[in-house]
Amino acid sequence: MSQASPVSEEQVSTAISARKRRSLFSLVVGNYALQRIGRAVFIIYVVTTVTFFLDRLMPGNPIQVYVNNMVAQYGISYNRALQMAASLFAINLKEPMLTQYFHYLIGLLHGNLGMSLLSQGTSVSSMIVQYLPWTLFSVTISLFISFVLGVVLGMYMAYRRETLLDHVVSTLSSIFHSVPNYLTAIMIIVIFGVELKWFQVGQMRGDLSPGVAPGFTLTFVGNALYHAMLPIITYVLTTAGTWALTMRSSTIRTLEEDYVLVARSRGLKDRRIALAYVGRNSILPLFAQLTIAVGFVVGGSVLIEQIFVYQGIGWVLGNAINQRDYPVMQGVFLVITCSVVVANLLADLVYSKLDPRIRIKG
Amino acid sequence: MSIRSDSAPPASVDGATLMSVRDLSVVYRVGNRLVRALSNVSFDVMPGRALALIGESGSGKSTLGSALTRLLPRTAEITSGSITFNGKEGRVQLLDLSSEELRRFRWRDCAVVSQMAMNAFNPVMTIQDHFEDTAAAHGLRDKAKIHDKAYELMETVHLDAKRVLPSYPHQLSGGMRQRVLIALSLLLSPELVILDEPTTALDALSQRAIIKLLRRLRQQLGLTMIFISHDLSLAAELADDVATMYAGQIVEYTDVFSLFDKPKHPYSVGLIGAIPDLSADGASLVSIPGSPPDLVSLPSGCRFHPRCPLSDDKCERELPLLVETEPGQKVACFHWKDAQTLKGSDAFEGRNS
Repeated sequence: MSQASPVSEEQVSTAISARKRRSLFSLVVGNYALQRIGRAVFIIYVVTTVTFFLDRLMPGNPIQVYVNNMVAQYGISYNRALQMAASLFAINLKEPMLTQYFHYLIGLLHGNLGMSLLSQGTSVSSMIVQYLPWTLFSVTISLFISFVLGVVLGMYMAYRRETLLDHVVSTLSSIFHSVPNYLTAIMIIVIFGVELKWFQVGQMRGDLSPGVAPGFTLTFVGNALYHAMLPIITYVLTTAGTWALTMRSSTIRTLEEDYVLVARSRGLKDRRIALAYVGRNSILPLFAQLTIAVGFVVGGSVLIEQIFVYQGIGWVLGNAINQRDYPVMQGVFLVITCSVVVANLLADLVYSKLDPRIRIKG
Repeated sequence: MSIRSDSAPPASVDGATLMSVRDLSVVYRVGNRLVRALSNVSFDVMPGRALALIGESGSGKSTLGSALTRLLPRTAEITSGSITFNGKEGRVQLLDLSSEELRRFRWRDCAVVSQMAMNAFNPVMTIQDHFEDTAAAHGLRDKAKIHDKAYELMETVHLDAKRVLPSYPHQLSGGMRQRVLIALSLLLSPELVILDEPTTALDALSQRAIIKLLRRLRQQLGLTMIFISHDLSLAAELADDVATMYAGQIVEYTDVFSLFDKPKHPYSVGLIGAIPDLSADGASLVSIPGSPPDLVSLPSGCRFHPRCPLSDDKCERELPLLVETEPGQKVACFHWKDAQTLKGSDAFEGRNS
């Protein structure tokens, strides 16, 4: 025993230090939330970097676009326009790309997204603060409506398979899913606005009618909804059917589960089985897709908001791209990235709350 | 395999059956083809006794089990017959019940422990929730009372109630889930419990434990049970009576001792010969030649005749009816008296391992 003790003591001490190291390491790796947040930050960094360089790889730069506009619109000579642009934009595009990148990153770490190149004296963050709420408002409402509508329709279709409603909704969903949403938007304007004159497209532009002050008043909320109505209808029309089809197939799969048959043999009421057994389990896979949808809708708002002239973040991005307003583009892309990443994070955490198989290891 | 020494009360002489099935036929519609899963099945279940329905896959035993609580899949249709349940609530005709009456009947009067215990529980609900849900469906909402009852039943099936009741299904092993399902089946003290392949999905050790548990429950509670199994040894250990099924019909109905001692149907003889006997060498293992008939196009006459060593012209032409040979023993075979000669003979081909 005594002979072996020095060796074993050494072994023990290494083992202890190894365990200590592992416990520190496993604190980060083992903690689900920390792990997810770390990954989220990394994704945001990568996307920020990629968009920074991609923006600048686009043909033309803000000065060229401005100069071309000036020459085309006012017939000013090229050199004169260049001089005007140089005095107007306090930017130095000659600076090496990497230097610009590091300046941008350092600014970002200080929460400074830079200044818009074209709207003089406006910071990118103030633009985001001004326009993002409108997009979030319209997108959240449409996601909620289309998700609930899709889930209810999908369950109904699964229970009443091969009925008229099932066929009608399936066909319409496929059509609206395959037609790009901006075409749907244009058709809404042309058919209902221009031809049938059900509403005044011009009046519905913008976020609010002139003279309506923001506040928690009925007029404000009503007016905001009125202006957001067309984008919301477009989002709902183009996505609700997809939710319905997904929910339909998920429900059909769940209906075949043994526990549904056993629930029936236990004498449970059909309503209880439909809600707590079939519905509750069928909806789980849809939550994962909900997060992807959040990203798509925010990103997809660019074209829709342009078409309806709904002044949200997508509209800002569209304008910024047209004029090569790099800082604004970067800022909006950052917002879109963050919204997708945050939605994913939320979904992971919510999903683990909803599904005990993930929350509690067996 | 061992034949038990204990014995349940004999079939009541006054003929008060708990469930009687008469002339029951079920077809599945697959495309425009008819699969005749059950043909004119009749049998009685006496209170306090355990009946085993045995047969190969496709013999109709599971269809019969589902039909008894009217939980057949959509494609199935009951084309004839009656199922009478004569419980404490009086006599009911199962095929005449409304869906709401059926819902109440299920689990309160007749509980089913299905072969899918692995997946029998809602994955997002705890075991406790399942007990409460079941009770609530039958109008019992006193949660404290239900909890006490669940606790007591967990003890009955030898599970740690404190640990199991708050658990989610995925936290329990297959054997534990089967026990929980058995406990859940007893929640409303049903008069009849149907066990559909209760041990099939389990490993050998869990199988033993479940068989022991079921035997103890029978002795303690005097439960009336129907076992559905392809496993003759399960029937030997748990059942009082055995109905042997072949191609959607009951071909032999007898008490378990007579079945193993003097099987009267050639198919029963074959089935018993096909049980592997671990104490003997492989030479004694016998298989029945051929395979069960296609239920879409059944053979003429006796459905077993293409595989039967005793078959003759009559078997090819005429369908033998289930006739009583001794009180409580019925067989559907023209040559049942000769079936004994098949025992141990090489009429069914021997298979060397």
